[in-house]
Amino acid sequence: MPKNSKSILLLAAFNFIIPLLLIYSYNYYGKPIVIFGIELKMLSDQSKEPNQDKKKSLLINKELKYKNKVKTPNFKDDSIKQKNQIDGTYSINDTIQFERYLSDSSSQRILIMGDSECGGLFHELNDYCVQNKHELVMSFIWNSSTILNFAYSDTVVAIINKYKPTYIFIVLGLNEMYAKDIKIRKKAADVLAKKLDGIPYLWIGPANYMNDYGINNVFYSAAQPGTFFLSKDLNLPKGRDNRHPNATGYRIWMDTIASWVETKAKYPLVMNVPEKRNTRCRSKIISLNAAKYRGY
Amino acid sequence: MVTSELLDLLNCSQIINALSYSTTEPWFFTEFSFLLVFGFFLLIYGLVIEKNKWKKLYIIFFSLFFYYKSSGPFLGLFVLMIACDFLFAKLIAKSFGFKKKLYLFLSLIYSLSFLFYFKYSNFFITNFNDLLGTHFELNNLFLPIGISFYTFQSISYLVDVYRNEIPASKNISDYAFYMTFFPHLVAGPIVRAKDFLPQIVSPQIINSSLYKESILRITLGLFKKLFIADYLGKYVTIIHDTPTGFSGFEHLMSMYAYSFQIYFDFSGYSDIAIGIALLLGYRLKDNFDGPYLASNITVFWRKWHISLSTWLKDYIYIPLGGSRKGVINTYIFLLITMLIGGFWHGSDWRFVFWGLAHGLALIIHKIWTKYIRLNPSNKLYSFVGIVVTFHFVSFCWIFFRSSSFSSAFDSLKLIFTNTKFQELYNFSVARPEIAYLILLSMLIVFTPHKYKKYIYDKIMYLPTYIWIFLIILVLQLIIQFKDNLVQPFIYFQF
Repeated sequence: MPKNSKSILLLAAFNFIIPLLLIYSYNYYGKPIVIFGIELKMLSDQSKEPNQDKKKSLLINKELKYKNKVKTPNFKDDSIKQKNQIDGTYSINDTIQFERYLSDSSSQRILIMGDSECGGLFHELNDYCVQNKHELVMSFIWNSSTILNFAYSDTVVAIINKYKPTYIFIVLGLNEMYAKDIKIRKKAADVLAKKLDGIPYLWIGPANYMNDYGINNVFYSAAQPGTFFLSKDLNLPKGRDNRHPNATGYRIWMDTIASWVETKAKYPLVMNVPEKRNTRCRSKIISLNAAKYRGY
Repeated sequence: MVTSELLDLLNCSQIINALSYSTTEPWFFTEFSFLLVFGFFLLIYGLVIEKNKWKKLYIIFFSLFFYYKSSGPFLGLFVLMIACDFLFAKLIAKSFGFKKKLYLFLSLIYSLSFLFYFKYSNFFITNFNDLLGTHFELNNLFLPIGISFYTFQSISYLVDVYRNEIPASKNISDYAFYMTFFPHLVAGPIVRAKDFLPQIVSPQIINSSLYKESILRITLGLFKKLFIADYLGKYVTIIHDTPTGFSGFEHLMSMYAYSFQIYFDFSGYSDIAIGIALLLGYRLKDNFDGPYLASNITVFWRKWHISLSTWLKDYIYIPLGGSRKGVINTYIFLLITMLIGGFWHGSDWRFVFWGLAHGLALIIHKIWTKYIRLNPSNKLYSFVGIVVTFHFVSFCWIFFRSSSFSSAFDSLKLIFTNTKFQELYNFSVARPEIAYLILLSMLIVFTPHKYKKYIYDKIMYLPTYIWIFLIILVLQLIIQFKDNLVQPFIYFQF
């Protein structure tokens, strides 16, 4: 151990410089190092806010990333992805990374709303709520509705204000799979996303059996990262109308969603598989038809 | 590839960017870029350490740069304040009688005007509008970092000069050194001129034990702030963002988590500040002394944010009359002092309420000790006292953390009406990291001092190369667990 002040300060300086240079060098090195099965994270993995000004520090010259590398659902192959990009503006980027909140063990007040597919899904969701001590406060089924109904009416806000949910499931898109006015839909989707801002939600894309014209991409780009569940590639048994899933299909769909919510969504929920199915739904159910009710 | 990266590194615009103030990346002690620059700062400091004049100028220059990197254009305001305080102190020292009082009065008004304008003007405008139905527009203000701290330091200097406890500084560089000294600049500890100015003339000699103590404190501070406090803070934020969406048990856990978060956040910061100052040869007083081990609220305030509580005692409570003007007046002075203390923390009625609650608790404790005498060495009495005091302080923190009175009351209501302890198992399964961290925090906070000292001494005797390894370990641990958005020091906002 050195005796004089100068040497001690030199030693102290290296106490800071050596570890930090190592950390910055590792950051530049770019390839992850694994020790005892644990991948050492890099400094640049610590992100700042998604859209913040990217003023870079002297030594950090890498693009900002989000911390938890949780991927949104993958497309199975690129050709499908390309088919979906009708206007090429909005695409699903399956490599985007985002911050995940901690899994929530507490009881939630859940609201589910959406088009006719919501009408099948809410029964299955109810089973999960009963099993996991959540409360399904309201099921709002707006048959034949589209994003335009939900975005440009006060109905959604009124329901949220009345039932004060702490978590929202939205199922939309089946009635606009072939919509070509993508930009209009995107604007509407942004409006709806803004209305939901502040409440954890999960936006569920339509369980479509045909390729859509880009509505999934629109919803994906409007929803916060990690809040959009892409349903289109699921292999769900069809119902008689060849358009909606059948009862088994809804169950498989909900099981897949539940597993995704618990493990990959931005706002995770405790969603243990129900021991009892077809439990009685005690929530308030409103079922409307968009042809008659356009929303207020 | 390597060459292009090197050229990127030497890119002038990047260097200018790195040296400029960034609103999105202000400099804190916990910024890794600061720690690296501090390492290089030490290298040069070693060269000037034996020349007191150069050393002083070097630290002042670096401190001003540090303040610029954390507060940007407010540097000008800070420099102006230092210059005016220096002149006021000279006038106070030279004058007598009424003139002396007048200069003190003017200097205090001047110092406090900045604090009132930046911190409290919107609060008063809002309340004025609410009371009288007026529609005065709010100012679009950004609070200069550390203003509450350096205003209190400036007041202590001016009052001490007025009381003839210290002479007015002859040299502006001495006073600037005291005010700008970067370890305590932005979030304390609030340093008294009478403690610090003598050290400028004769700083401590940096020896091996000082070096070990300082490195250990800095490392410990980083661990406390970046590992424990930030991670707990993430959980607390989730609960307080939507308070009605969580069970009473979650709120109870969040209350404990916040109690530990605020302690580790601020004591971690103080440890880094004290460690850095020590490495430069200057000793700042400890700001915490195991506050959650206090067996009553009076002792708690002797152990929590010591530099603030002693400041409030010396410059508000005692000048008001202290305990010299009868029992009732003592209680009133105590209440006024705590209300000011609460208001100092933030321009919101929640902070005033927090101060009021602590003030009332201090009064109740004074009355209690007057009529009921218990043996303080009784272990059961101490244990009950610690539990009661910790819970009282934790409940009060809810008002500190909540975004409004209504959400604070929501939180309290849920704790008292909706807490089911059988949720403990679910909680530990769903949030294992938080459960472990709360346990770790309890272990650190409630371990008696003698055991902590034993571990501390063991670490002090480790060889130097292990120290470097320890620092790398702590920094990498922080990176592994670091929150996406690093919480700024809670006390920066005050």
